[in-house]
Amino acid sequence: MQKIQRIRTLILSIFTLAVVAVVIFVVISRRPPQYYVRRGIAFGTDVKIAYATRKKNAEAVVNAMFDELNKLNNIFNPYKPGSELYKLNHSNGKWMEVDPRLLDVLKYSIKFARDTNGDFDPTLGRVVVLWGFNTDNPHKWKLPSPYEIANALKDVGYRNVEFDGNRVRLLNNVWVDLGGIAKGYAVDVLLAMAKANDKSSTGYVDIGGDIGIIGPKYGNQPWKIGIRNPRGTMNDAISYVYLYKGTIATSGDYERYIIVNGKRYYHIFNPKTGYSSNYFESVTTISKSGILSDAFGTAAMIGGPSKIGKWANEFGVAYMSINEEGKIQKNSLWKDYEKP
Amino acid sequence: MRNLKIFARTDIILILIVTVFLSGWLTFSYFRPTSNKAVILVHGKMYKTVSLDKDSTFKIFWKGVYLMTVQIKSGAIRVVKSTCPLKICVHTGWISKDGQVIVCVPNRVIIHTEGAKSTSYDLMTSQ
Repeated sequence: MQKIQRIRTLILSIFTLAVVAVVIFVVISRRPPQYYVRRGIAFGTDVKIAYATRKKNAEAVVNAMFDELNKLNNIFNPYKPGSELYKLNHSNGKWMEVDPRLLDVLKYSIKFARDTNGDFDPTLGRVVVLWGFNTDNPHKWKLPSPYEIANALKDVGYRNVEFDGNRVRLLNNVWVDLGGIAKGYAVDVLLAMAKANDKSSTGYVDIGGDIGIIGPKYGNQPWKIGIRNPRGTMNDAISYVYLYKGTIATSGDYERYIIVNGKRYYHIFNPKTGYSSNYFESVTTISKSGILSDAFGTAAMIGGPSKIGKWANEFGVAYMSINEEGKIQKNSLWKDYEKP
Repeated sequence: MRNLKIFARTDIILILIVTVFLSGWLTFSYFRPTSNKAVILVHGKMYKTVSLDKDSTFKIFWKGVYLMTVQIKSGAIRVVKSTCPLKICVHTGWISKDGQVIVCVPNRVIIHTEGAKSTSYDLMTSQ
């Protein structure tokens, strides 16, 4: 009798434990998302921010981030009359005191230009305008004549940017266009805001496809990020990576481009030729800083397959490139991010 | 023989009740029909939330100016026509899964789905 009693108690206990375990599992796995999410259009692109903090001020912090993006646009948009960069581009070679953030990014871009032997060049403003890619209106995008391109190239060259303390001067009529790195810089600024508010906060910022991770999803899971198929639609991913931290950015030939006589020309120019390169459809980069991820992709689109691997080793970035035949190439660092 | 029974009748009833209750709750929490809808933001403000279960076609205006025509059919939504120059929003085509998005930067319109089946990713990196 006693034995049967013990078996009964055992079975009932196991049953009770199982019920409790199932209930706990279901409650945890269906935990509602605790993220404050805001979408909007800022910095000339589609922005999405998800933020969770124990301080209960997520909404205020995210709103401050959107305000900051508007401020950054008033500094870095070279074609917006009145912006800090617009003023610099129209300063006729005179010394000008600039906003410290513009100074930082300018210095970074010149150093990056030197490190890539000028394949990356922030002084292509006049070439961008010549092709019409400074506007959002595709009817204004056009293939200039070789003569016009040669002419515009005379006013290009990162060595024409000079610094003196917090003053900058542009020589030889060059126009600065920081389109290759401004979004990445903005990612870094927003990540710093999130962390300054709460070191252990989590979430992400996504500025038109330039993404920075504030912290892992729910504190311990990776964010799964799709790499856009360069020949597909907006929601069509060709590959995935899993990020707990860091930044990821993509440069590509599929949004601002024209096709003339079967040849594709896009908005990233080789400063030596004034034309876009035709090595890659897109380059996606993962690194610690948004500005590096952004700049690396831009430079790699120009530098091509012979330089991308070498640069990736030098800068310590992970990359995935898709060439004009659609062939995917990844470095070994990239492969670490392919598993959750 | 009676004495060899492990469970009393009340035990069995109790186990049955708990099991039935638990499976009912599980079924409910996993297969609860979610309302499939799309959220439309214009100029950063909530413009409209529409159910994707009812087919319809409607126009979006902002401050009296026509921006685009949107169609809902069989649980999916798309932009049919738009005044923007690039028509990226139109080329995006149908979206139906949670997390998918149609963006029109010139018209400052964002359409995303909610409560639908999830996409296979949290975010997308693009140019």
